[in-house]
Amino acid sequence: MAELLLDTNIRLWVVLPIVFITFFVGIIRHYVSLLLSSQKKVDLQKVSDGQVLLRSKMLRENGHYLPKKSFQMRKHFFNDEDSGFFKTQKREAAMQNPMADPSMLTEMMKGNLTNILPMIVIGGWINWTFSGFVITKVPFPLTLRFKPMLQRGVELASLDASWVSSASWYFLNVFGLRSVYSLILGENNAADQTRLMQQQMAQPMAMAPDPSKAFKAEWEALEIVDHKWKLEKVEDELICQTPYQEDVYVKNKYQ
Amino acid sequence: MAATMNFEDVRDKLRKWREDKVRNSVETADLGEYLLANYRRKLGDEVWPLYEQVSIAALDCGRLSLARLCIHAVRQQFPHSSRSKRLHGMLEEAEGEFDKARETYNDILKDDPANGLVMKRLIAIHKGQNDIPGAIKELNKYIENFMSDSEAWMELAELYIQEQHYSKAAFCFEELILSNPHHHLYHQRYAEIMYTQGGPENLEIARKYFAQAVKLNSNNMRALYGMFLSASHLAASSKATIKKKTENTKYASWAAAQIAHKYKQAEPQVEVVGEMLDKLAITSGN
Amino acid sequence: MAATISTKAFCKCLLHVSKYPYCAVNGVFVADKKTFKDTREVKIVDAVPLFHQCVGLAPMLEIALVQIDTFCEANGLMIAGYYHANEHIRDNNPSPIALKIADKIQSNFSDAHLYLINNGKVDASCKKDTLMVYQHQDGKWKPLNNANFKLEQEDSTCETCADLLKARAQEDLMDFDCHLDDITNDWQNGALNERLESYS
Repeated sequence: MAELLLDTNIRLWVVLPIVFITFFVGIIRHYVSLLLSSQKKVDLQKVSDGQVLLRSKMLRENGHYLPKKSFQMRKHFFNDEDSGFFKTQKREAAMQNPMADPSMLTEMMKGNLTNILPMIVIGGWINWTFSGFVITKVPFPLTLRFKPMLQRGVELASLDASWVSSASWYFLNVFGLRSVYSLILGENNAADQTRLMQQQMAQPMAMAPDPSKAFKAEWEALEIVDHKWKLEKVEDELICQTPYQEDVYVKNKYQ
Repeated sequence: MAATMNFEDVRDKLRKWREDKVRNSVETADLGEYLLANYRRKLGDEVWPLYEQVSIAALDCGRLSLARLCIHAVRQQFPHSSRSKRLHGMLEEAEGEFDKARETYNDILKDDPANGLVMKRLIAIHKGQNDIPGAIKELNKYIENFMSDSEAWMELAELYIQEQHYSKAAFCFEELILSNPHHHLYHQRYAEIMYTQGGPENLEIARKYFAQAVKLNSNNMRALYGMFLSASHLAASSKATIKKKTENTKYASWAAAQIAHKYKQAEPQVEVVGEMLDKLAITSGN
Repeated sequence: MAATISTKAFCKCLLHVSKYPYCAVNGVFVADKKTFKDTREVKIVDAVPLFHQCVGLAPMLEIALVQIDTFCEANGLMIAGYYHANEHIRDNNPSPIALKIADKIQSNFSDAHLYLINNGKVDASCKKDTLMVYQHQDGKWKPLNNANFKLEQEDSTCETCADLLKARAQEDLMDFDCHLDDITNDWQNGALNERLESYS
């Protein structure tokens, strides 16, 4: 594959401007989202349920460090057929349909407005403005399947897939400038797109459980736990592990 | 002292104390006062958490005028914030106006019913009025909603110890062990509570948890001493079987050797320690 | 007369209370054995600060008392009193824990007294009435009139105490809890004792 020689003007007028545009749009996005963000109202019941589930999880995982009686007492508190927490506490199913819940709808809209929309708009504009040529070459070889994605506007079958166009450079910047944002705006800034995407992926999981399903799952998990006290032979283990200090160094051992 | 340190050092020191939640209020108040008086502009936005830190330290030392100054500044800047209202409530507590403070906190809870920090202040009001049973009741209500709050369990345990309800204090420490089973201090404190309760079963449990604390941190002197004491008591008990006696004597002498070794390493007062350990072994027989 | 309290004992006790103003603290007073044997007078010569954490738990108290006992035997002293400061500033009644520990100490020395710190009176100008003394009578601890104990040299003691508090000497005081945290900390407070000698 022949080496392509790019006009240095591309570096000056395309590569650098895209970097600056992405960076400043990110900063603006951060401040706009700060302005638009509303205080989230925390529901006591939800917090309490979360804490209960956490406590039950701790009991399952670390209950072996408690004496048997203490463990059984707590297991009984959670799992007893008649009086156990998971059996007697009933919760309504959470609102699944985002359209029906107005506050959730506004939140979603705000989220979309500040994050997805600018990305699409600017990505499209960059694509349109800087179309028809490649910007740079990525330092690693890519397969041909990347070509339509990364070389939008440049329909050359023989061009190495490592040459990328402006749109892909823009996306590269969006992800790459994350650490620069955290330097400048501090951690937990709204300009961090990737974190938002992770949150969006995690949301379907968090919203869905209906607390009663979570309780049922936790009940089952706790039911099968069998207590085996980890401290049964702790003194012997301790004594074997730590010798008397005189045994560590034996004088004249090899004489 | 503050005048000899430069701005960055003082600011960094206070920042570290703020992040680690260290409670050395006298120094914090002094250094904070110095910074706020001389470098307010230079601090920028950091001045607000600093105001909060200094006001709490000032309340702790009884420097109410300094506290009033800081809290007033915060309230002017953030008049509707629940955080600044909470500070105002703390000032009212420090002035002894508990009813006003209670009103302030209840107001905050109306808008934000899940505000755990404000609920804790309500419990603190009971403590401030020396109403320990009331504090215990409120704290229990809090824990019903916030079952995984380690700080709350710790506070509840201390309140129960004050009231000498040792079994309930033990329950609290069990929760702490569940939340962090590799923290040697939880095991050691739990063992101390079991030891204080007394009885052969509890002494055995105490010995085991002291041993676990030593396993997690071999420098924990309290755990070593505790293991020695509980094993000695069990060995000397008239109801102990031969097997238990030998076992416990073995554990006690191991613990004693470890203690003696630690003292030898630290300071050459071995004679005092040796005598003391013998004495302990004798008195455990009572 | 309940006891005579030396400058050293009084100052160390108040330094201990000042070091941990937000905790309940306790400690023991040790008296000269020979003086008691000869004149039946309890002459308290030193204070040993004990704990500021979990004052209500038994094992470390046992260890501390035995260590202090051993120390006393070696130096011709005996445990002759117990001081306690409650956590709450306006709580001037001995707590059940304080009474229990005082009982234990009294069972070993029948003339032992319980000294409760009057938290409201702990300030830069500590006077004798910062301590409230209790005596064991008919199975109960009853408060005694202040006149029942005296400071060895009242004015100079109070002055020394005030000077030490102003100089923040309490930061150098090590109680038994500090010793258990790090055994190189000297619960006998040798350095502080020397400093106190220099005042007299």
